[in-house]
Amino acid sequence: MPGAPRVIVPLGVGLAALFVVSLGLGPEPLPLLRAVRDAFGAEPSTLAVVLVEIRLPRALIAAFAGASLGLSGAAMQGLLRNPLASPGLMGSTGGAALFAVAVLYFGVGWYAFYVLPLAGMIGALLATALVYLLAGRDASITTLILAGVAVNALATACMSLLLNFAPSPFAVRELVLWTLGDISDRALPDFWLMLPTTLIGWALMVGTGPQLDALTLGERTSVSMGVNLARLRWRVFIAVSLAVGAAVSTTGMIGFVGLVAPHLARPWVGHEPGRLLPVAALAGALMVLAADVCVRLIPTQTTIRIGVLTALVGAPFFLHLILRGRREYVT
Amino acid sequence: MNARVRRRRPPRRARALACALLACAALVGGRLYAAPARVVSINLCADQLLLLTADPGQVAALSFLSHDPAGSRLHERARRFPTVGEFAEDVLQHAPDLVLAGTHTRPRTVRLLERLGVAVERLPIAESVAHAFMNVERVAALVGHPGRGAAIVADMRARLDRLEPPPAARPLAAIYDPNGYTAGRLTLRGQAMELAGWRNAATLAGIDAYGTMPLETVVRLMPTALIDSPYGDAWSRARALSLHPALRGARRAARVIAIPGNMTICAGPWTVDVIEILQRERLALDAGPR
Repeated sequence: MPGAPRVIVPLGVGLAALFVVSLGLGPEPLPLLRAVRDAFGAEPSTLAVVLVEIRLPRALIAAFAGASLGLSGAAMQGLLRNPLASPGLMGSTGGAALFAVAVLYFGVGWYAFYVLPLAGMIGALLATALVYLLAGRDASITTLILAGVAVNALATACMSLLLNFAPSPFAVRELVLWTLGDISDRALPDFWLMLPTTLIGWALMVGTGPQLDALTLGERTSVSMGVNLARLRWRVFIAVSLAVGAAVSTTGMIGFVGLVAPHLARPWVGHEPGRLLPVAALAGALMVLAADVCVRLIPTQTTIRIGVLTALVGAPFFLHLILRGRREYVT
Repeated sequence: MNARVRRRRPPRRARALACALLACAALVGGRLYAAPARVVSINLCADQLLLLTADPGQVAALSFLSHDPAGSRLHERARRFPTVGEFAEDVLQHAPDLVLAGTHTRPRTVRLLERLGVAVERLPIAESVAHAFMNVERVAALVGHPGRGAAIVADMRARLDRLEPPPAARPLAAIYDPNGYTAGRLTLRGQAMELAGWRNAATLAGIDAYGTMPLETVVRLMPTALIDSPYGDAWSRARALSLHPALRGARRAARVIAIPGNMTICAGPWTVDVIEILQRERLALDAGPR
């Protein structure tokens, strides 16, 4: 990457701090230093079990899923040259959740450990491809949103139907976990399961930076600069599907992060996608971790789903984008 | 406003239907306390008490859950009877002269049935052994066989009297259901634990009735036993929680007492079985190395 943006350092420090805060928060008081010391001791204590088996996977999953969403949003906005593109609006999250639910509740998940993230990936890819085909390559913002809304609604409806058919008596009540996101009580194996596909997706995406930069000059110019557009498109879609598929099949659909994180990052690094990608990833991770911390700080009888908080921040922001877009069209 | 709405006349056919139903209801009502001939139950717990106390000929239909082995203790016996859906229309097909429902049955359904002149009895959830006795006796009286109810209760009482007295130092146990739900001392299962000589971890977590116990709290309290009531073994996030690796640390020391869901969802004579199982597990603690 040509000259990594300077803002990465403070964002990284902020992320680390928030990560530690996340580890320190929970229903039981946990002296962090002692828990860490115990975790490296010979006889793992209760404190160590709580830290390593309960809080660590939660924080890791929040950070990695958030980074995947932020990165994917930035890559899609760069590729489609459309500030409203995001994994949520392009159907990726809906498709991923649908396929994850199909695999988990109908018992295939345990036959092979890699089935779950792969199913999420295939679902994300199919849904994204569908939206892309429906809207066309140079789609207007409206067409893209409408196609995305339709495919997302279809995927969510199919997921709800599947949960109705699921053999578990708890399945229907878990619809809310899938539509609003949930990372409570995850275990380390869940994290190991999402990690490989996530990392492959990230690696594929970060490499597209220079090509996405060229694309900002227009398709013709970028082709004359040696960008193979068809290949770039597929690469981004597959990368997004890998990362988002793994994230969503672990956490459910955490809304608006993919849309908002790149916009949060842009004032710091400007509009070049190549510089934006890593910063958007950090912003996404920060956003989800912060939302997860807030979920645990707000005292309620029942747990608040993490997607509620990201939507509370994200939806007004989304409206703001639409209003600004409208003003730009008028003038 | 309201008065005007009410004054608007319903369509003639509907009025005729309502009149006919009311007439039926009046006829049925007159006979009700002389043992109903056709009883429909739309509540799993009422299903089973009905099976225990009524003549087979009196049972017109049971709830669809009654055939499910995961939730219904008497599912084999229930299979001899048809099942009924959960809506008023389904219930009316069976022309019942008594409908048994739960206090948590959808109120609209119950109100609609009552409006159509069907006698509906609502059975509360048994939160203690005493409640369980009351429910058995009530259903037995409703179907016109109070003697059968009294016999079941007498048998349960006799078995409870034969339980070992609880020890001075009670071992700690926690009910840990899917989604982290637990039950405290004011519930039937909480009372069953106490009668069997266990101390309930829910009390230490500040839960007296029902609540969720965070995974971290279970790990901190380190109960000697986790009491689990599996309800089928299909995958769900709820069920996945009880397999969380953090519990393995607790489970290495703890025994898991699995009591089938169909013994804990509803109260009945099998409630004493539950208490006996829990007591046997407690006595095994002292006998065997842990």
